[in-house]
Order: sequence, then structure tokens, then C-alpha cells
Amino acid sequence: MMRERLTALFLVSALLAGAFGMTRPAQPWVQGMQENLFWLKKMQWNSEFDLALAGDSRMFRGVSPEDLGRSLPGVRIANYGFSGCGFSRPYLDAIGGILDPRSEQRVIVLGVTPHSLTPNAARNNGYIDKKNLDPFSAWVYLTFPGISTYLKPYSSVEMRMLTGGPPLAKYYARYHASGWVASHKDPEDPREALEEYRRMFEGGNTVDPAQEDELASYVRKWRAQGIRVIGFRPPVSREMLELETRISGFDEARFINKFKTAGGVWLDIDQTGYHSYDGSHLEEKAARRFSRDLGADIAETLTRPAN
Amino acid sequence: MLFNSLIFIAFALAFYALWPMMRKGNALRWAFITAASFFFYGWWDWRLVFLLLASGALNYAAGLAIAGAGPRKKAALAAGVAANLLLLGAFKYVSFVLLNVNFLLRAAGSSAQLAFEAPPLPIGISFYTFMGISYLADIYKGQISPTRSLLHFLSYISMFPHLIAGPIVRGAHLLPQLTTWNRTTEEQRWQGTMLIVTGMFKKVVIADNISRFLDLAFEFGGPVTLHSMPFWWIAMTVFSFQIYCDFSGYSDIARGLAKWMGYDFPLNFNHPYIANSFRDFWARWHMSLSTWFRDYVYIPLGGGRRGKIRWHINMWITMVLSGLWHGAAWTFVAWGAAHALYLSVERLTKWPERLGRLPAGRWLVSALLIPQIWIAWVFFRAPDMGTALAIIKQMADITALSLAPVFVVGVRPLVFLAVGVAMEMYFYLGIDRSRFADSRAFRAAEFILAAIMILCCVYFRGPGAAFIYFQF
Repeated sequence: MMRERLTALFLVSALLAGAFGMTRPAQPWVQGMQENLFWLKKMQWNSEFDLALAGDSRMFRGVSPEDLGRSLPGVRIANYGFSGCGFSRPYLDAIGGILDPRSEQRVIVLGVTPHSLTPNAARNNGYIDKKNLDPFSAWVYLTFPGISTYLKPYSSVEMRMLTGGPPLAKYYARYHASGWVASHKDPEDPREALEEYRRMFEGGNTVDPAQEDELASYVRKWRAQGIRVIGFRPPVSREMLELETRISGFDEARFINKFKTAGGVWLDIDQTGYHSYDGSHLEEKAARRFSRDLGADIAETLTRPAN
Repeated sequence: MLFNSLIFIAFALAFYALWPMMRKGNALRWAFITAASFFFYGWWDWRLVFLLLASGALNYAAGLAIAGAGPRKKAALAAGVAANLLLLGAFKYVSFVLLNVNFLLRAAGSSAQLAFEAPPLPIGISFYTFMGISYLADIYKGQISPTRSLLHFLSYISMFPHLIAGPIVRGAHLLPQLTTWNRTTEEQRWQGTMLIVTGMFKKVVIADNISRFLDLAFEFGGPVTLHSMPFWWIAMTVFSFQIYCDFSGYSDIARGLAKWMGYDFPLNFNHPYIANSFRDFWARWHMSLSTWFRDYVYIPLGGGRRGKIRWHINMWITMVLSGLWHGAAWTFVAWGAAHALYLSVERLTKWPERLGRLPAGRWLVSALLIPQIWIAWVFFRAPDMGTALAIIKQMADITALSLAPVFVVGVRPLVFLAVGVAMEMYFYLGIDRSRFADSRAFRAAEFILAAIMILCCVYFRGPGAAFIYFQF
């Protein structure tokens, strides 16, 4: 009886798990690569690109390598942005590692946001999360993506849909192999991200000048290795720009001075001229347009001799 | 490797598949346990294996030395204990000591500052160091004889179920068990499975999902921006259940894994939040550590045998050291001191007994006990004393009654909190001791519940996180 009970438990659990997985509601607004696979593949990049885009979610949602590359034909471009990513040492070390040492011209393009220079972003971010995933789990997810996806935990959106409620918002996302996530939210709320950032900055998580210095030291190091380094501040909504300028502790002029002194080139882009669906991230069409504009700026910069 | 990781599942499958082959011969069994446990430990960082080996060899040799030291055995014990404390102190307390020395130097007007970069704290060191000390003390007291086999000792101290976060298993309890190999009965395997399933559910479904509440609260500025008395009481309820489910979940899994080997680990948590006094709370919370401090600190200091005042002094020393064991920071000292204060007041006034005799006395006692426990947890969770005091101030601010911050942080974790509270209410209301618990209906319900818990561990697990007690 006991032997049957234990075996029965595992059989019943397996059947339950298999059956329950079928109840996962479809989200046709999430497309492209499977999300887990998207991040794991990104973590596997090694010495294979000419140009690396780096930064937080404003980068990985806001810059399309395909559109950027229209002005840079033949250049292998990767979007190496991660969620909430701060420019801390582990991440900075990794950025250079995805560039091909045999490339004729290696370039690092940094999307610098005030949040990416804060202590919280340095400690806890999407890059560190993925880096801390043990190799065996990563191997399982990469080798058995179907089962891994089937058995992944239900998100809040899925649970809400499962219990009969409509999703609060449809978060459209298409995961591209280049590292870009084209995104859009329906309904939009251009003020959505403001409250979150306000609380965070007012709670004490503001720009750390020491992190600015660390980033500058890496710019110097990359320049010494012959890598061109370009930086810019990703576009956001006007209200977000005003909020960050007011309370994030980011002194843009001071930072640009450090960046240029270290050997980087700073691009002065239109910071509020592209449409954001939540105040922080660009919706897909705006991201493509921004990427084309950025690509043209980068191409023009690269025609000039390096400092 | 974490218990809630794929690599551990693969490791455990391989271990238990080979375990039946270890029935012949102690040496083979001990070597197998030791090798597997060192592999388990080394998965975190291969250098830790040498530390564990050094600690094991030190305590093994010290045990033999104490037993053979004759009139010098007290000195041998002192040397062994000192070596253990030095090892622990070097990794865990040097930075804290220097921080305070530098503070005192500055306060005295000196510009001299001592600098030292402490290595990262090796995971599990607080636990296996204390196991080593208890082994030496028990040999000194004549309660056990030292083992003559290094492998035997290493298999005891390194055994992977308890290695990282306890329970702190005494030599007298586990060493004799390790000299046997018994075919596990189906009942043992069922009990072991239930412990593992329950423990995993508490950890990955409840603790990991509710942890996000406080993480977000601090990301959003903590007490600086979130002004609400009810919010902070809810937040501390969340943390109280997070740490309980996380830690007791780990202990349950450890006990279940040991049961699958045919070994018995002591109970480490006995539903502490249903306690009827602080004394009762400490008989239910992290029992292996509280009994360790009782046997190796409190009783040697004299316990309660030297008068009332001396009882209080000895108890305060024990509780403060217990706090310090948890972490090298004043907040942990404050946590220990808070509980010492509670115990002193309880002893002097006997308030739980008096209140318990009133109508609905049990509920009245809980109504007073729980908030005090929650307040003490503030020191445990807050990153520094300033934040801790700011949170406690918020908890007392009756002018800030808005629930808005709860919705800012998100209510989803509270659904999982409710499940955790419901689980404990089952024991608080005594349902576990009712006739229902002996019935066939109960056994059927237990089976269904286990299947549901496994399902939840798959589909409703929270963001994967290390167990809280790994940091101690």
C-alpha cells in the first residue's frame, strides 16, 4: 500500500503538472524567440561582434541592431542590454568580451541612464541574475527549451487571465536574436514609470559619482585597447527627463566631461523626440526610427579619427 | 548548490540511486557521504572544500586530543574551541570589530584607521563550526567518545542535508547512526517525501513569492517614502513568514533527505508563531541553535542556578551572543537584546500565564506576543539601525493609516502570505491533534495536498533565491 502510495504520488503529480500546463493562457502579443532562450543566448555571446550596444531596458527595448545597421553595412551589431542593468564591474567586464578581437573596428555604444549609475542597479540587475544561473540549469533550458517553457512559473498576467480576468495591459514584445525586444503596451500610459522612478530616487537610490568614475576607467581601458567608445543618454518622455534631472543626482555635464576626458565620444541626441509608451521605454516604431537616427550618428562619428 | 535547483535534483537522483550499494562496510559509506557532500559544497566554490576539510580535520584531531589529554583535557578543549572560534571570527567578525575600532578611534579624535578586506563569508561556516564545538564539548563532558575514523567524522560534519544551513546535529545523535545502514521502510520514505514536499512548498511557493514585497518596499525607498502604519505591520508580517517558511522549509527538506538515507535529524522548528510565551517561542524556533546556546553557553555560565539576577545576566549574554551569531552587525545584537528584554519581562511579570487564564486567554496572549516578535524582526531585516528605528517609528505612527503603499508595492505576495498563515492556523487551532488527523480521510487529504503542493512548486514558484540563512 505504501509502495503504491509513493509511486502513485509521483505519477499523479506528473499527470497534474502535465495537464495544468495546458491551461496556460495564450499571449499572442508575445512573439519571436522564447524569452528564457533569448536571455540565455545573449549570455553565451563571445567574441563575435564588431559593435556592442550596452545598458539597461531603455537600451534593449529602445535600440534595434537591424535598423541601426542600415548606416553601418557589414558591421556585426549586438544589443547587450539587460533589465535594470547598472554599469558595474561584472557587466563592464562582459561587454568587451562579446567583441571579436579580430574585428577591424571594435565599437562599444553605451546608453547611459541615471538609473544605470545607481547602487541598486549595480547590485541587482538582469545581467547579474542571468550570470548567477548555474551552468547546469542553463544547459537544461538551452537543450530542452520546449519542456522548460512548458514548466515555467505562471506570471501575474497569466494567473489573472487564468482566473477569468482580462490582463490589466497587453505588453507586446517580440524577442529578436540580435538582443532587441521590440515592445509596446496597450493601453499606453506615458506617466506609468514616473511614480516608480520618483520613489526610487527619493528613497535614496541616486546616482553614485564613484560608479561614474568606474565607468570612466573602463572607457579609458577600452580606448587603450583600440576600441571606439560612444555614449548617449537614451530618449524618454519629457516628464521623465525633468524628473530625472531634478532628483536622480545625475549631473549630465559633469558626467559627459568625465566620459570625454576618458576618451569617449558623447552623442547629443534628441532626448524627448521619440514616443514612449510608459515614459521610460520607446514603442516599436519610435525605437526603429531612433535606431536609424542613432546609426547615422554613429556612422558619422566613426568616419572621424579617434581621439 | 541550492536544494531548489535542477543541479541538486540531478545530484540527489544520482546519490540515492547509488545509496543502496553503500550498505556493506562503514568505510565505503562514509567515503561516499563525504565525497558527495564535498562535491555538493564545492559546487558553490571549490576552494571551500579545503576549508571544510581543515575544519573537519581540526575537530577530529582535537576530539582525540581531549579524550587522551588526562588532567589537561580542559586546556585541550579550550584550544579546540578557540581554534574553531578563530576560524569563524576570521571570516565573519574581523570586519565588524575593525569597523567599531575605527569608530572609537575617530570618536577619540584620532585620524588613524585600520583597514582590512575580509574574504567573503564561506557558506555554512557558522553551522559546521558550531557542530565541531559541540562535538569537542560533548567529548570533554564524557557524553560521547571521539571517533577514531577521520572518514566517520567527515561524513558527520559534512553531510550535505545539514551542511549549509543546519539543523546543527549533535555528534551523539548522528555519529552512531552513521555506523548503520538500514533499508528504509516505505513509511520512512513517505515521511521523508512529505517533509521534502512541504519544505519545498514553504520555500519556493510561499517564501520566494512573498519576499518580493519587502524587496520592492526597500527599492521604493523604505520608511523614507512609504509612510503608513498598516503597511509596515503588513510588511513585517510578510518578513516574519518569509524567514520562517524559508528556514523551516530548508530544515524540513534536510530532514526529509536524511530520512531517505534512513537517518534521523532532530526537529528544528515546531510552529513558533503559535507559542504561548517567549519561553515557548524559543523552545520552537531554530531549536538546534537555541539548545546549542543553552547547553554550551547558558548552562556553563550557571544558567538559573545562581539566583534570579544571575539568571537574567546569563540569559542576556546568551541571547546577545545568539544575535551576534546571526550576523556581524549591531542590528543582530539588537534583535538578540530585544528577545532578552522580552524574556526578562516575562519572567518578572509572568504575563503570559496570567493573561492565559482569562477568557479567550490564548488569543490575548498571541495578540501581545506576535507584535513583539514582529518588532524584533525589524532589526533582523533592516540594513542598519537607522532604518530599523525608522520602520519601528512608522509602525507606531497612528496618524499614518493609509493603505496606499500596499497597492504601490503590490498585493500579489499577500495571497501567498495568506496561504502561509492558513498553514500555521491549522496547528494553532489544534486540527493536527484532532481525531481527523488519525483518520483515513486525513491520509487521503494528505495525498491530494502533497500532489497539489508539487504542482504549485512547479507553476507557482517565486523568483529563485538562496535561502536566507545561507548568509549566517
